[in-house]
Order: sequence, then C-alpha cells, then structure tokens
Amino acid sequence: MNTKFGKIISSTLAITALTASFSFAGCGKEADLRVYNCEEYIDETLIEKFEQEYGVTVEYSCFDTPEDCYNSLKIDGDAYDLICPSDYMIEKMAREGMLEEIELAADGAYKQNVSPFIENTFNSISFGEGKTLANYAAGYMWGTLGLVYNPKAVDVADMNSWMNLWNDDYRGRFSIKDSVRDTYFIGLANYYQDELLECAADYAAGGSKDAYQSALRAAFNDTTENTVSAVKNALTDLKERSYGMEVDSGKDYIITGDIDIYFAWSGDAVYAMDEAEAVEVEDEDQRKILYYSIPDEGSNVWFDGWCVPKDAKNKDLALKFIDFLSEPENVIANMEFIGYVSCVAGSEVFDWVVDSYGAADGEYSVDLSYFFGEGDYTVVYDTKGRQFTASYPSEEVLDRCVVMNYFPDEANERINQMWSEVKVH
Amino acid sequence: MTSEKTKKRLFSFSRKQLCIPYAVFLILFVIFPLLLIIYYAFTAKDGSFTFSNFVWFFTNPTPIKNLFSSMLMGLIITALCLFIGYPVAYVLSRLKSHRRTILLLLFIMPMWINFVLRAMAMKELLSFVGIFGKHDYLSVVIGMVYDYLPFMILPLYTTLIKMDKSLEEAAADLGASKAKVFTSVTLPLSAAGIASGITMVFLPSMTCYVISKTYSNGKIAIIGDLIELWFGSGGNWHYGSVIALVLLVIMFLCTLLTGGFSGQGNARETVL
Repeated sequence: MNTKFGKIISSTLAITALTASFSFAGCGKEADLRVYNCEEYIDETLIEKFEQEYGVTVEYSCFDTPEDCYNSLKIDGDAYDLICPSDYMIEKMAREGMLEEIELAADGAYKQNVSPFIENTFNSISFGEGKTLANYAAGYMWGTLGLVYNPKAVDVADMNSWMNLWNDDYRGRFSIKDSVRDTYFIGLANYYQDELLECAADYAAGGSKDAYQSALRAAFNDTTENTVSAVKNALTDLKERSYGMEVDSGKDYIITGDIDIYFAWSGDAVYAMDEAEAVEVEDEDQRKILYYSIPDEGSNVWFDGWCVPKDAKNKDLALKFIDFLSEPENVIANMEFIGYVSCVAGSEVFDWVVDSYGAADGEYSVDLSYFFGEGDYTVVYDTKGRQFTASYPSEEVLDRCVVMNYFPDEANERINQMWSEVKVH
Repeated sequence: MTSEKTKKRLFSFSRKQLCIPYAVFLILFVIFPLLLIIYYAFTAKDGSFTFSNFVWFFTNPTPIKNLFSSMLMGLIITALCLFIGYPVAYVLSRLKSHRRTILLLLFIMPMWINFVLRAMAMKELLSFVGIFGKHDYLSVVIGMVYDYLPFMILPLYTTLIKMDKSLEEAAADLGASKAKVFTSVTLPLSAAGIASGITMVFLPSMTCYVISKTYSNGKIAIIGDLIELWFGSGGNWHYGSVIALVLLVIMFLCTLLTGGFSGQGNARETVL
C-alpha cells in the first residue's frame, strides 16, 4: 500500500474521530435543567424567572411534532430532563419504558391545583399493574377538536355534524389537518355516524355516562382493517373536497376568508377568533366574528403533559419546574401568552377566567365545577360558542369527548399506510 | 540537513492533505448518513437483516404510483424550464456585455431571496389570479417552474457563453441555414449545459416536498412526502429508508444518463 495515501486516510479518520468526539461531548458547562417542549408553547420569560428564583440554568429547546420528540429521545436518551409530548405519545413512551415514574410533592403547586377533570382523564388511561398515565405525566395544556366557522357564510345548524364536511355546499370551503390522527378521527366519526348519534340519544334519554363514554372510546379508537379501509375512502373523498390540508396555515385561511370552516384544535380556534375580530374594518358589519362548535357525533379531548425521560440527569429539578409552571400567576401568564387552556385549575385561575370572559348580566351561565373542583364555579357570560366556550366547554359537551389512545405498532403502520394512500391519491 | 527537511515538511501541505477538511465533512455528513440509510433499508425493527422492506416497496402500489407521478411532475417541470430557459440563455449569451450583466443579474437575483419566502410570495400571486386553491396541479407546476427556472438558465448560459462563436460563423459561411447552424452546431455544443440544467431541476422538483406542499395546500404529495411520513407519524424508518434508497439509485441512473459523470457536465461547477 502506498504509505503516503495511507497517511492521508489515517489522518482523515483521526480528524473525523476528533471532530465527532468534540461534537458529541458538547462544549462548555451543561445546563442544570434541559427542557424539550413543543414550538411556541411557553411564555419564555417564565424560564428566566425560574432560573432566577432557583439560581439554576435552563437549556430550552423545541420540537415540531411529538414524533420528533420521540425520535430524538430514541437517538439520545439522556439529552433532556423534561419533555412535553402529547397524550398518545406519553402513552407510547411509557409503554416502551422510556419514561421515569414521577411523584410530585403533595403540597406543591401542581398537586394542589391540578383540575380533577384532568386527573380523572389521566387515571382513566391505565397501563396495568395499577399504573396509569398519572404516574408518568403532569398535565400542561388541554383542549378539544372542533369546527371554527363564519356564521355569515355557513348554515350554523350544519356545524353540529362532522358529516357536513362531506356536504356539497361546503366543497372547497374548509380545511382539514395534515396530521393523520386528527383527520382519522373525523374519518371515524363519519364511519360510525349512526351509532354515535344513537348512543348520544340513549344518553340524553337518561342512559349512563360510563356506557356512553365507553361506546365513544370504542368507536374513536377502532383501528381494525375493515374500519381503516372504509375510513380511507371517506378521507380520500374529504381531501378532494377540502381547500387544503394544513397544520398551521388554517388560522390564516379562515381569517382572510379563503375558507369558512376550519377544523381546529381549540387553542388555535381561540387564536383565530381573537385575530379575526381584531382585523381593522371600515364598517362594524364587516367585522368577522367566528364561532367554535364541537359536533354532536362526539369529539376528541387531548392534552399535553410534562414527563421525565428514563435517563434524565436532573429529575428533582424537573419536578420543581413543573410545580413552578403550575403556580397560579405563572399558569395565567402562560395561558395569556399561548392561548391554550392549562390543566391547572385553582381559585386564582378561576378568578382570571371570570375577569377575562365573565359578564355579570350575561344571558348564559355554565357550571365549571367539573374542572375547578367542589365549590361554586359558575361563570355568567354573554356570548356562546366563542373564545370562552372553546376554552372551557360545559361538562355536557365534554361528555361526548374522548381521548384517542396511541396506536400500537401494527395498527399505526396500517393507519399510516392508509394515510399515505389518501395523501398521494 | 535532516531536521531542516522535517521542518519544511511540517509547514507545507501536499495538495492531498488540503482535501482533508472536505474529506472529514464527507465522512460525517455524506458517507455516514448514507450507511445509516442502507442499514435501515436492509434491517427489520428488531435489527435483523431482511429484504422485506424492499418487498413492501415493490409490491405496494402506493409508493410506486407516487414515484411515477412524482417523476412525471418532475419531467413536466424540467421540460417547461428547458423550453423557457433555453431561448433566454441563448439570447442572453448573444447580448453586448454591459446589457448582459444587468439582465443576467435580473435572472439570478431571485436566487438570492430565500426559497420558501419566494414560494409564499408566488402562492399569493397564484391565489390572486385564482389558480391557487382551485387547480392544485397547475399551481404546483407554475410555482415550481418559477422556482427552478434560474437553475436551468444558468448552466445553459455558462455553456453558451463559453462556446466558440467562430464555429457558428464557419457553419454559416459554409452555407448552413440559421436553423441548420442551430441544430447541428449550437445545440450539440450546449449539450453539457442542458444535461446539468436537467439534473439541477429534475431531481429537486421530484423530492422538494415543502414547495409542492406550499403550492397545493398540502393536497399534492410527492415522493418526499412519503419519506417524511414514514420517518414521522408512520414511525417506520425502515420503509422511509427504502424509499430514499430507491430514489438515490434512480437519481444516480439519471445523472449517469445525462452524462453527469463524463466530466463534460462541468457547467454545473462554474455556475455559482
């Protein structure tokens, strides 16, 4: 072998190894707490406040989708101390043993203030051996899926059914999510439409809530082959009919009027309503007042939660950060900044809700004790179907909302195969 | 004597040694990821060796169908770019030099503006004329032609400007008509530019899914979308890697066919 050539090869390899070791070792001192959250999902001044109050350093980074979060944790398990994935991803990670069990201080802000509704929801997702999702996650934000619409452009009664997205009247005037789980959800609503309405009628006639909820859960978690292939046809049709598939631009589409119906997460719904009515108009009649509806067939209640990865280095500080974020003033600052609804309740948060949305002489009232706990938590307000209703739906509406569990590998592959067919169609 | 020699060696680099930084880059960011893709393409979820991912790809109509439709779209876009770009490059190369600089600048300038930003602006324009949101395919084709046109014009221009004009004059003197001069002299001599223009437009237009997504509101998925799907929500890197690997082979063949490896396709390197 030519020695000169050999030298070049070996020095190249040496430098490569050197560069690699440098890049993996990182440079400088590592932060005390490494937080990995979804994009634009925190009031970043809170991070500075935490650093000052606790005299620590925080390294804050963001991911785009829960799948990105999962992938980066798979590649580098001890890169983060605290992560904030969505419900189904928490379930998947917990089942795969990627998460540490967490036990927050009983007198800490989270345990003191977390909403009973969220606790019940977390406890309803069981992993066997007495473990539930509550053992692995602390709730952060939650919400529902629904339709944002412009009442001047659609028949308002039509917004009570997902089926109207397949209605010729609305062809090209609505957007759907470019995200398999959300759009699969309305595909299921379409597939089970009759059964869902029947169950709703039974419940309205005095049937048990448990029976209703478990029927909903069964329908919205159906991943069997026949269902998936039936849903595929419905969704292919829906895609053709839609204005487009989006995960972010739908807000703008409805504000500018490119679409009249926007299939949205409740937090985005609130954002769209706020922005749409803030647009300057010459004549008040032109002001765009959008509404939010959760259709009668039922919908999805979702949440994001803080979790500690198995190989996290600073678990105690991670728990302190959760408690810090759950302190009422921080909860309120965060909610004002992000526009989503916190899983944390408590009387200060309730007062803020009343201040923001209440109207002493309003014609409607809603009892939010299901969310805020025992006591008088009735809010009197004057505009139904707007920001307040989207943020804090009544218990009656939430009775028809269920969590969509994670899809086990085989089902996930089947559903994504179906989704790829819908997309390339 | 010997020590002086060593000293001299310490401070002088051979040409090969100067390539080391690039070699490091190559190993870290090209060869290593490529090996990973190959690894994932040939393994199952438990890490065992398998061909099942390839079986999945070649027996499943969705990725194949999508591959062909992406290729078709890439071909249409490339053909349009060539059709529009060639005359422009030809005229540009025949202009007087001061005028040429200004006009050339006009064609290059869009390339200095962020790609995604340009796509957003074009989307607004298409929306204004009523194509966007109504005719998705047309919208994607127009948008992509707009985005990739400079990548076609520049290599063509570089080859045409370097061409020895006296060859054309000689052909004309010997009685060839203008059309004949073009078809038997100019066109063959610019083949290298055409080839590199095609590679620079065809390959990205097949895979750059962010752009097609922007112009079709997410309604038209090209092969790049499928790769993203399997690496993302699909959670199967093995499928994603197979698609990427098949695509890689196709691109390799395309480059081979257009003479990208022949050394004449150097126009590409002189472009930027």
